[in-house]
Amino acid sequence: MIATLLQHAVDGIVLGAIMALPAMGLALVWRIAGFPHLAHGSLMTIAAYAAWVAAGSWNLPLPLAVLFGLVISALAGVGMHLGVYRHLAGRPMLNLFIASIGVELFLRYGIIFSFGSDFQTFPLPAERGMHLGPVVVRPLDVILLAAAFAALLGVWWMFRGTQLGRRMRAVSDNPSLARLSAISPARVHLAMWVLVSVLAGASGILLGARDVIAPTMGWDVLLLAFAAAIFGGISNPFGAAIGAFLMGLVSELGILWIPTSYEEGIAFFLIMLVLLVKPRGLFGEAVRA
Amino acid sequence: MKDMRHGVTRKHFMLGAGASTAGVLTGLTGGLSIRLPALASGGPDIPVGVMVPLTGGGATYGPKMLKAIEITVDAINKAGGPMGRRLRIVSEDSQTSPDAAVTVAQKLISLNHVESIIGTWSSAVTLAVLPITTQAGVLEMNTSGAGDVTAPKYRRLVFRTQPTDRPYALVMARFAKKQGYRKVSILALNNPYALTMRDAFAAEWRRLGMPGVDNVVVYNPKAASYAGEVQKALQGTPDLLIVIGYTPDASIITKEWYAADVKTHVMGPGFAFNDALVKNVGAGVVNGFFAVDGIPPVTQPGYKAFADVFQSATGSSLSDNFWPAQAHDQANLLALAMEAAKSTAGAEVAAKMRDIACPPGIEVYDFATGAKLLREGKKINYQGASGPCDFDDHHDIVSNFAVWRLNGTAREQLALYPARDLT
Repeated sequence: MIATLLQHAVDGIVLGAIMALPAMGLALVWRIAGFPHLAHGSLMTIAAYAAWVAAGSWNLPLPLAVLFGLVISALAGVGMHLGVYRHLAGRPMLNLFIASIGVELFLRYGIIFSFGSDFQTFPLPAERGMHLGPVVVRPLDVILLAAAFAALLGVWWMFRGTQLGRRMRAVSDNPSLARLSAISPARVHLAMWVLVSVLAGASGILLGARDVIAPTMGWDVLLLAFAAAIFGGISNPFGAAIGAFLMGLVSELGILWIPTSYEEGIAFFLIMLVLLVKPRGLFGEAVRA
Repeated sequence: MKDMRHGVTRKHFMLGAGASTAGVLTGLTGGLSIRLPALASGGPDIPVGVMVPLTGGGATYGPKMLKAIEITVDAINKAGGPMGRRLRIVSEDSQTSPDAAVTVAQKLISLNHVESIIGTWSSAVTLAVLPITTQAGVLEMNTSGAGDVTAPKYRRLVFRTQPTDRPYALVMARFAKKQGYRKVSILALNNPYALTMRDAFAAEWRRLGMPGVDNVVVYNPKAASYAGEVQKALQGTPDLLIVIGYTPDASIITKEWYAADVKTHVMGPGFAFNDALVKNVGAGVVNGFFAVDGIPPVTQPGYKAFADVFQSATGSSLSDNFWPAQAHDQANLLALAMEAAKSTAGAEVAAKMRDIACPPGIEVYDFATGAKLLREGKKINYQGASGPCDFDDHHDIVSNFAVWRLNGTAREQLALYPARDLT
């Protein structure tokens, strides 16, 4: 029983890691640009497809293909910002929200148009799991976990320890005051979009490598990532990441006792309960007016 | 800014003008195509709704089904068509989605005035479409296996060329017992086809006097990870894991199974355990997997009559999977039943379907021969590329089944189950 519990806990942490990267990004966009970014899933999908084209069709070595995928997702994120969201800054949040749905659908059908709706796979052989005591872990999941924790620490350090992080916090807390202190909100926004796109892209490539690559793969994770972010506190990127890990654990441990088809339902039910008690999420900070 | 706004307006205008010109042209050509053949032959074109999955989970199969229908309808029209009228394909994408299929069915019926729809794939799609077609009196032919597809409330107007999900389950249970497996787990996709198959397996397994199925895990489509589901199904290391799903989810599950590194063997339906799965996970991984499927009647004249044509038109073999052959048969059966009914109305055509498809009668393999005999007042028995197409009282068909073992990219037939034992 202990072995089963541990195995499901490991699976839960892996599921959490898949959601943590986009959840952090969603929280950052919410905090700095001030809207729920519904096109976040397509950043994941685009990165996965770009890396797949680089690895599968151009036969680039895997690290280069991954790098290419990340660059493409960063460009896509910056493109969304410069092409669409920047022009809507200052409008009601609903405008940006709806615009991001439009961006998501545009990119999704662009991918279907370019690559078809059939699913694809990376040219990677299936791998045996590694036996670590009573649990079995896929090597790819170790990379996924490492990437998630590195990202978590990296964002933490950037937020707390660097000038860029201080500027991001300044802009998110009070854009006018930040401008008076000679901080350029435009640059901060640009940096933020590069960061969240790379986070989402990394998660998309890893998810594509462990499962399959499909036009709605990012969108399918997005609802979970959103829920995780709200659960942890959407105004706090670290809270969002912790929310993702908790949600992964609850889902995967929950299916030991409940039918698996209710896996997500249980997680969402728990979130509902938490939000009734703590409306800002577990680690949410006061949301700016 | 002003210029831009002008630009946008002009663009909109051009788009609008373009669209309406296109609309007028379509209307004109549509009208022409209806009238012109009328002068030459027995009447206006007969619109036939074709709804195969061109996108979504079934996108791997749909395009070749459509191709098969196009080739067949071409041959039917060259032979003069039913009652001397040409068939006109009106093709719409089901997107492998019940929601989209409902919209498409409504469009085909109310806008294109089709009286028959063929080619619906996946039980979820067919079951979504059936209330609409039944209510509109439209004939529906599909490749779906769930029991409810030919439920009494739909039966009069629906025919399937796909064996039901039941024989798959019977073969799986009987083969598993023969192999000496006792502890069995099932991983089933949460949709009508997989749940039907799961229940039929459990019932047959009990009937064979085996202990209950150890573990039944139902998984949702498009989950971010199936790790937990696979772990749960593999708890207690069963002798056999049965995966009931489609190729994309079966691929992910196979990777998880391989990572778990257990002695459990794996079995599933052949349309999920296909070449695409082997390509996705690697030939070495699927060695020893068991695939259960109906046997394409490769030695039968009905199959041979279409196999070469299909191969040269698409470059792929008709035996790759069951569905293009079924799509071909649906088009032929429909045209022959129209000819026999001297009508295109769904109910009248449906009433003649078993007459032209079932014995007794002269065996025919294509529309041209069948239509000629019908006009001479003879009784015919259509023999298809997918099988004999002998619809029973429920409008279901039966097929011979086999179990194959995957060895890399090859497959070896291990056991044969004749249709008569699978009802």
